[in-house]
Amino acid sequence: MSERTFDLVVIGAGPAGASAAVEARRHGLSVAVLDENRAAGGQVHRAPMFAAAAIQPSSEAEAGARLRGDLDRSGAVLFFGHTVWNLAPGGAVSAVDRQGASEFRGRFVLLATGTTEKVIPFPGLTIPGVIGLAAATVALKSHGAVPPGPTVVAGVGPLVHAVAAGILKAGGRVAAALDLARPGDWLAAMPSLALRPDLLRRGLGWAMALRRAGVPLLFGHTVAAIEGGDAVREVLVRRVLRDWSPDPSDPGRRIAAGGVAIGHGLVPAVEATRLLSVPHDYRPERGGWVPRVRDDRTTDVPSVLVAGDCAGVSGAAAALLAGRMAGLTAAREAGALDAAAWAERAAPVRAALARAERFGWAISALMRTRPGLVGAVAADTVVCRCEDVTRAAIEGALRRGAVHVNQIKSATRCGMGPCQGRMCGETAAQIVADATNRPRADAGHWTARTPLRTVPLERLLGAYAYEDIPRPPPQPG
Amino acid sequence: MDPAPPPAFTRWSRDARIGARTVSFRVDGRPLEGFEGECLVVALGASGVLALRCSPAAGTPRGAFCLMGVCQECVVVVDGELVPACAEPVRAGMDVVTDSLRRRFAGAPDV
Repeated sequence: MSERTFDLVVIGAGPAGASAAVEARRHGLSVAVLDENRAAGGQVHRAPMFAAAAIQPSSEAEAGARLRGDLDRSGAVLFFGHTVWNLAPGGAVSAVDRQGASEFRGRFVLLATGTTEKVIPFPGLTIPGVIGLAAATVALKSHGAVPPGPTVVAGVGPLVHAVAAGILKAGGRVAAALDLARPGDWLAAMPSLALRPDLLRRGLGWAMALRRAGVPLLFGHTVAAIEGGDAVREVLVRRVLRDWSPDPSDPGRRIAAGGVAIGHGLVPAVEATRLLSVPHDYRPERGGWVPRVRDDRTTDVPSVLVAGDCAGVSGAAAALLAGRMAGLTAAREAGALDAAAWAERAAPVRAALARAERFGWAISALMRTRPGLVGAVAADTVVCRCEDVTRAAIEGALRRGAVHVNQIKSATRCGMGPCQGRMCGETAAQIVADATNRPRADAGHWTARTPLRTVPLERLLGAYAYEDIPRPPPQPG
Repeated sequence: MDPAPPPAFTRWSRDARIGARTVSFRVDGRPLEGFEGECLVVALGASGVLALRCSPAAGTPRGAFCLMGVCQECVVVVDGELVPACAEPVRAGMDVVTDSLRRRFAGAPDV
C-alpha cells in the first residue's frame, strides 16, 4: 500500500487540530489532517448538516464556520471520514475510510483527539432514549434535532444549561435541568469565569430561557434512577451532599419524562498518546489521565506533539491557541522557523493561552467528579455497558485480589467490549481505588491497544489474493 | 389532584424546514422515510425506533448513546456491513437491520 508523506500529520480536526494545520501551512509545511467526522470543528464547533440547523446562529457556530473556512483555504490536505486505527513510532499513521485502508507518514504527528464524555452509571442508564449530554449537543448543532422528550437534562457544569436551553430553542420540551454543582460552586469559580464576560452572558441567557419556559433548574441534584423498562417514563431525582452522594434526608421526587440527556464531565481521549508511550499523569482537575506535554506542545517522544483537550480539559478557546502553538512548534522543528522567529510568534499565543486556560480550568475544576457519585453506584447496576458487567462482578474480582483495572478486565470482561473501555473506564478505576483504599492513580488505566477504534476487518484487508501476501524468504535453520 | 403529566414523545424530532430531500429506506424490512444525508440515528428516532440492539449478555435493549462513534451502542447492519448508525448518513433505498448480532448468533451455544 502506498504511503503518503507530509511534514505534519494532524489527528483530529477540532479547534486544536484545525488551527495547528492552518498555522503550520502558514510557514510552508505540508500538512495532512485526518478526522473520522464528515467536517472539521470537533464536537464544540460541530458543522451543521442542513441549513435548518443553522437557522439560529450562535457565536460558537460562527467560530466553527470561520475555522472550517480557514482550514479549507490553508492548503492542508483534508481526510475526513478517516478513522485512525494505528500509530507507530517514526510518524506512521494507519487509517481506514469507506474506500479502505490508507497509510500516512509525518515527520511530525500532532495528536488533537479531544475528549470523550464520562457518565457514572445508575439504574436505567442503558434504556434507549437516554443519551449523553455531548450527544444532545451533537444532534442540536448538526441537525437542530431534539432528543425524545420531555427531556430531563442532567449532569454537571455549563453543558447542562446549554443543552436544556438548546432543546427549548429547537422547539423541544425540557422536564427539568439538574446540575450537580451548587450555586456556591459556581460562585467560587466566578473570578476565573469573569475573564470571559461573553460566555458568562451566554450562560445567564440559558438560565433566563429556562426560567421563562418554567423549567425547574435544580442545583445540587442528580438522576438517581430512570424507570420505564424498555423506554423512559419516569426519572427519580435526588438531592446530593457536598461529595455528590445522595442526601439521605431527601426522599427524592419523580419526574415524568420521555428522554434523558446526561453527562458527568469530559475525559481526555488519551488512547493515541498512550499507544505512542507518551508519559501520563493522573490529574482529576483536568479530567483524568493526561499526557505530559511541554509548553511548546512537544512531548518526551520525539516528533509527537499534543494539543487541545486531550492534553487536559481546557475548553475550545484554549484548544485553538494550543493548536496554533503546536503549528508554530512543528514549523520550528521542521526548520521553517528559526528559534528567534518562533519565540517572537509564540509569546503572544502563550499569553492568550494562559488566560484561556484559566477560564477552562475553572470549569474543569467545577466539573471534577466527587467521590459520592461512584460510591452510590449500586451492586446490581451495570458499569460496563458493552459486556453487562455490574459493580458486584467487579467487587467479586477485587475480593479475589485484583488491584488494577487491567486485572478487573481479565477477570470480568469489564472494558473488553466494542467501546474499548471508554464508557466504563472512569467508573471502574474509581471502584478499584475505593475498594483497595489506594490513590486513584494506583488503580491504573486500560492498556492502549490497536486498533484504536473498532474498524471493519474487511475494509482493512480490502480485496487481495493469497499470492499477494508477502512471504519472507525461508530462513536457514 | 396533580395535573396529568405531559405525554412523552419518546421519539426524536427535527425541524421540517431542514430542506433536504425526503427518501425512503428499509428497517428490518419495514419502509421508513428520512431526510437524505441526515444521521441515521435521528431518522430512526424520528420514526420512534430507539432500540437498535440488545446487550450481548443480559439481552437488555440499547439505543444510540454518545452519537460520536465511541460507545458502539447504535451499531446496526447497513447494506450488509456493521456500522454505528450515528456515523451513517441516510440514503435512498438503504437496507438497515437492527439487533444484528443477536440475530446472527441466535441459537449459537453460549461460550
